[in-house]
Amino acid sequence: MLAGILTVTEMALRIFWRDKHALFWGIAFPLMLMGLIGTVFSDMDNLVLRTAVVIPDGGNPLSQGMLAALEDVRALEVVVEDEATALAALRRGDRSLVVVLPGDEATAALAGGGTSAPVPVRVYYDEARMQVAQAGLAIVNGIVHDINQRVTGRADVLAVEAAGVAAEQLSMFDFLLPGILAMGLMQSGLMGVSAVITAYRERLLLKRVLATPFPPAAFLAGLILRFTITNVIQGLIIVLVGVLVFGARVVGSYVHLLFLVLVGSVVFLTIGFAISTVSRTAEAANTMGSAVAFPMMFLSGTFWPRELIPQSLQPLIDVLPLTPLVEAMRAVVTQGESLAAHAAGLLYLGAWAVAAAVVAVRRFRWE
Amino acid sequence: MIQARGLEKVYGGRPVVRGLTFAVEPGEVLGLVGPNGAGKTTTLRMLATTLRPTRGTATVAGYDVVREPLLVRAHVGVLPTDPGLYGRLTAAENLRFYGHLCGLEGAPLERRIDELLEWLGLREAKHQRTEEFSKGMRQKLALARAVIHDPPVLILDEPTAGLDVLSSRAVIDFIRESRQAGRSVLFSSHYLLEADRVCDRIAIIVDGEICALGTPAEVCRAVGAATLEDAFAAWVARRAPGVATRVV
Repeated sequence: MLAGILTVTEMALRIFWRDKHALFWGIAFPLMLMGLIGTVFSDMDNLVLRTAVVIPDGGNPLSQGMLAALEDVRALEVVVEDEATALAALRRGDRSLVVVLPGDEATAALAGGGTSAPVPVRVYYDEARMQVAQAGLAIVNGIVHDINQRVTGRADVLAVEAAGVAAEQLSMFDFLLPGILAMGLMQSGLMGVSAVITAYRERLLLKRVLATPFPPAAFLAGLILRFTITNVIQGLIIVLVGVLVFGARVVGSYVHLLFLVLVGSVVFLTIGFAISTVSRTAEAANTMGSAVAFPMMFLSGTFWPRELIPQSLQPLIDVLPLTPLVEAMRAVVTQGESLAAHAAGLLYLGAWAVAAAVVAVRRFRWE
Repeated sequence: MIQARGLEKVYGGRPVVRGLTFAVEPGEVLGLVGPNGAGKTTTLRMLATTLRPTRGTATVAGYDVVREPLLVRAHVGVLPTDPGLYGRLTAAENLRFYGHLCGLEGAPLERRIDELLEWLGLREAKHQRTEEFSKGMRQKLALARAVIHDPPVLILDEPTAGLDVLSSRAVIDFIRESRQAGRSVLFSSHYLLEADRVCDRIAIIVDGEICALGTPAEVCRAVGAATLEDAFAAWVARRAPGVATRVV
């Protein structure tokens, strides 16, 4: 059985290697995107963000702590001023970011043990300078994340992570690398798998298998193995080019990153199989895959932080399967977080895989 | 080698094949001829185990098509209407892949590939991708694929449809040589002249039923026809006058 599966995998890999379109979309396109976006927005490297910090209600221990954390970040040049002055300066272009720290309501929330609704830390940015906003939001998010974890009482772990956030300046390529990795997996599943399976069905190649003594399930297993192998190779090339050519840094564990590549591969392969069961032609599969993939690519934080996307779209972003994958990969790459911190997101991805597998198995047709 | 008894297929309450009973012996070629939608392809697919019969039984090479489909597939070579080849693989790679699916490997498989390509005149195209093949070359390669595992039974669906004269000739020669090799061959065709040339017996199938089964001479004699084409029209007219008008 294993030899048979490997035979199918070898055949499918050979076809993939000879398919110039698949090679372009699978490997060249993600690298081009990373190179283009990273180069266009590379001026944010070594950038100093003039940041106004607003401290309402005369300050409290929490806001003082956050101010200290912000001042520790090399990339920020912090001034404390009132909100109206700061916003006017932002509109003039004299400030890159305005951070309004929480007032007394935060102290009340702390006293309640963190059970009340989250207290907002408002960040104003210039919508015309998105790359600046990305950098600033990533830094503020890191600090808020750190303080949130302190509130939960895990101060010993947090001190290390807070130091990481404060010391590391995020480059555009650091930010893009995990997004492009996740995007490649999504494209491979939603557009690659669904188009290949539908084309094989349309050209009666799946039906041919049924006329041989070969077990049909082993044929599908061979194709799944082919896509998993190409996904890992694609991920490897993206990481190598990202790190060696574009100078991206992977702070976290490569093993964790490989694990996330495999998880993402399984999830989007399964969704691709499900899509292939509802499309009759390869063109229809491609259109359907694109219709699902493109909005996800732009909404799930692949190229820019989801915080930049309007609040009204946030509930939609929460349900997209690409979102937890991008978040987990970015946390591993840029902050060195453990997978355990993203267990909920990984479980959610698992639920997507199971749901898609149910659809694929129930509806799969050989002809 | 092929035994069908009361074979039936019903789609959505509509019978497509009704109680077919026939046999094909080793070294015999039986042609299924009939108008479009008569149930020829459905019958072939039930025997090739890609479609489950609604009623009736059939054995191919001694194996039951419902209970032992994998054994049937190991002993039958199937040529469908569409060759279904991998365009980005070469002729040899296509044959090697299907050989592996049929459990063959190593030197015997390579010898078989060379032998079949030589036999069908495709030796020069061994390392050429099949997306560059003409329709006739694709059909020949599909025939080679059907017999890669040297099966004792062949099921061919419209093997000469859309081929030029020379390619059709090659396919007919292939069927004759398969008969000489002792294979049982069941094939469907629209071309009566071709069926007359190559078939030992002919089954005329109309509206899912066999209305005539015998040697071409017997089928003609039974309705007093001079040619198989006349006989075919006469048999179809007896069973389905509307269809006969369209056919003739």
